[in-house]
Amino acid sequence: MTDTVGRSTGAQAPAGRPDPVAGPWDLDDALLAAVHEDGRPRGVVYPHPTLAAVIGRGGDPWRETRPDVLAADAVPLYRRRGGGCAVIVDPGNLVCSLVLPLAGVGEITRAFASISREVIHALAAVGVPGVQQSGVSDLTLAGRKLGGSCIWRTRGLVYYSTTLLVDPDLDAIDRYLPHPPREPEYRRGRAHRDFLTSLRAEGHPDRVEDIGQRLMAALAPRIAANPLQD
Amino acid sequence: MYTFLLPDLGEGIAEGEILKWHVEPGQEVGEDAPLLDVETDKAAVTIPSPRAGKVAEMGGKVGDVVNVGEMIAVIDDGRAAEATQAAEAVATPGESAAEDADTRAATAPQRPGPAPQAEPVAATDGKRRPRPAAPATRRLARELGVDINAVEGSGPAGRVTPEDVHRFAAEGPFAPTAEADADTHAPAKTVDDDQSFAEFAAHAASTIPFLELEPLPDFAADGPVEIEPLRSIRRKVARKMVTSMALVPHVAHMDDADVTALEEFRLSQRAERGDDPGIGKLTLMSFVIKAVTAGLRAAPSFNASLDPFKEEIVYKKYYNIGFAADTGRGLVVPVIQGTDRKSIREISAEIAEKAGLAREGTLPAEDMRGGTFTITNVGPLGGTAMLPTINYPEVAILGMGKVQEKPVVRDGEIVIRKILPLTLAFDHRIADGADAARFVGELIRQLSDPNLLLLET
Repeated sequence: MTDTVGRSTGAQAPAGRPDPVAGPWDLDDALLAAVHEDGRPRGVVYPHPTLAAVIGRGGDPWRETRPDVLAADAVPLYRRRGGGCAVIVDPGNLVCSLVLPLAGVGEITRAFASISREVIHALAAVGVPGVQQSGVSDLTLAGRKLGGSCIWRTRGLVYYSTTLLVDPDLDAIDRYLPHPPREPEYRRGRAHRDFLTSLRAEGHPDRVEDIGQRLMAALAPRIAANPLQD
Repeated sequence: MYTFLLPDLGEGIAEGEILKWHVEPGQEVGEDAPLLDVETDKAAVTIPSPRAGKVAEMGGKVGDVVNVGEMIAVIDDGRAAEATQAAEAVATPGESAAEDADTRAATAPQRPGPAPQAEPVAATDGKRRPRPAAPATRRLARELGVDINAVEGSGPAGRVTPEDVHRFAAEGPFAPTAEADADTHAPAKTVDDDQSFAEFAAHAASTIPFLELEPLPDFAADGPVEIEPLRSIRRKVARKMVTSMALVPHVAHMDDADVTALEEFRLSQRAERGDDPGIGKLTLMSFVIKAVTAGLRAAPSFNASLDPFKEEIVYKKYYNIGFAADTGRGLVVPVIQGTDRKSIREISAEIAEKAGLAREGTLPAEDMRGGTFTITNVGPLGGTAMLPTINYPEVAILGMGKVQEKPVVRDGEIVIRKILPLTLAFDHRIADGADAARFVGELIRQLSDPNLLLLET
């Protein structure tokens, strides 16, 4: 069995399970086209419009999600451009997608670190101090994961996307995702409920849309300066 | 012909899994057009073609793991054969790949056929360049102990083929003797697309008496199963362990060290210094590394390597101690270089730093190379004894069990002491049981008296 990128999925998938499809990434497409055109870094921050499962570019839906439960609940299963394990997104999540020019196809580790640093500074500026980068690409608050990020690298561009848990339905994550097949060291085997947090759970009462607008305003000048061009 | 090597994707990233090919063999591809997608742990990368031309060869299948620097494609661009560091060829926008390759690329050999005396590929800057070869061919070379960069390739653009590696192993400078060849050093075989399992099994069975290799049964017929491809670190560990167990006659020597005084000293220092980032957690491992270093100076056999092809023992006059770290994704062995020149404080800080990077998956590859001896500590997880596998081509590995308070007899009295179980697994080709007993005895002496260890710093 192969999925939509022609890759072996490994486990046997029962008949009737949906293959993941490319997500509704129109905004990202527009960002990529614009930065490709003029080389100026750009970004967008928005609440995810619907409940969905999203797997990494090479992810295996049969290992990383519960496709039968997703199908029964009519929850779409999308495939993103970047790597990493499956996530559940809903309107309580802020999606932050950034595209920056960077020569070649390498420097992925540095790109993660540099862009995460800018997001962390922007979060502090909008009243969310104390966020740290943990593992390769996670954003954490008080030892719990507040956001996960991924990168898609193509010649001359870095596409970075992070999903921030502002006020998500954490029960949905348990319902649709098994324990991930790989995890960062700091997770230490914790279940989703014990591992994840949200801004709401940490005492931030603001609406998702409001935080998104303020975050975009704080992030825009930082990204415009292209932190990858050190 | 243009041989395209997987570029450097970032610090600590040594490989990528092929997700998708955007082209097929024989297809025309434009410069900068998408060639293939690869995925690392958290990132996906679309790699463009550095040249316009016809795809003459693809360096792997979807699902294959390709190491940085390995051939991923050969592009027939109608020009003379070239092999280039892809990272250089795609590093700078606006600078054409052709210019890059012309000025920096190594010229791959044109002459077909075996050339056992060939020099490694040399670039104009004098640096050694990797030979172009498919991942399966590199794996074959590693299994045969052949330096693939010393093999002259007979394939397109000087690409090294499996036949070249077999020929080099049989005829090259590291060729086994005629008697050995007839005995146990017949070239190993690997299972690839054009070699059936039956052929592989028959060959393996012909070289190892009583060995019976059969495909695994269909476990799914007996109940639900989950299938997980063997990837990345797990696959590397599998190769290293099988190689070690197949090549090295392991012997284990076990003993206990009384670390009561050392633990009192260590824990008091840790309490006193708190979370001093300059000293790390001051774990027992840092003291054991220092004790092992002192032991290795007195017992150089355990800091050596045996070259089975030259039939030589290489005694190393430097001390690079590796420590096994469980990353959650598999085992890695960060290496502390020059432990004879470092204090326990420095070693402790370096352990903390490298273990953290290893767990995060960002430990640079160079920090995992060059080890001369390895220590593995299962103590924090429990366990009184273990039989560790030697980290080939090293000669020995020390396993640490859990420190426990135990009743022991001292001067005719039963007293409670803190006891550290130690197991030294070693290569019996180089050392004997008596050597191991003396070496472990010296370790115990060092670990039993912190003052002795402090003299080493």
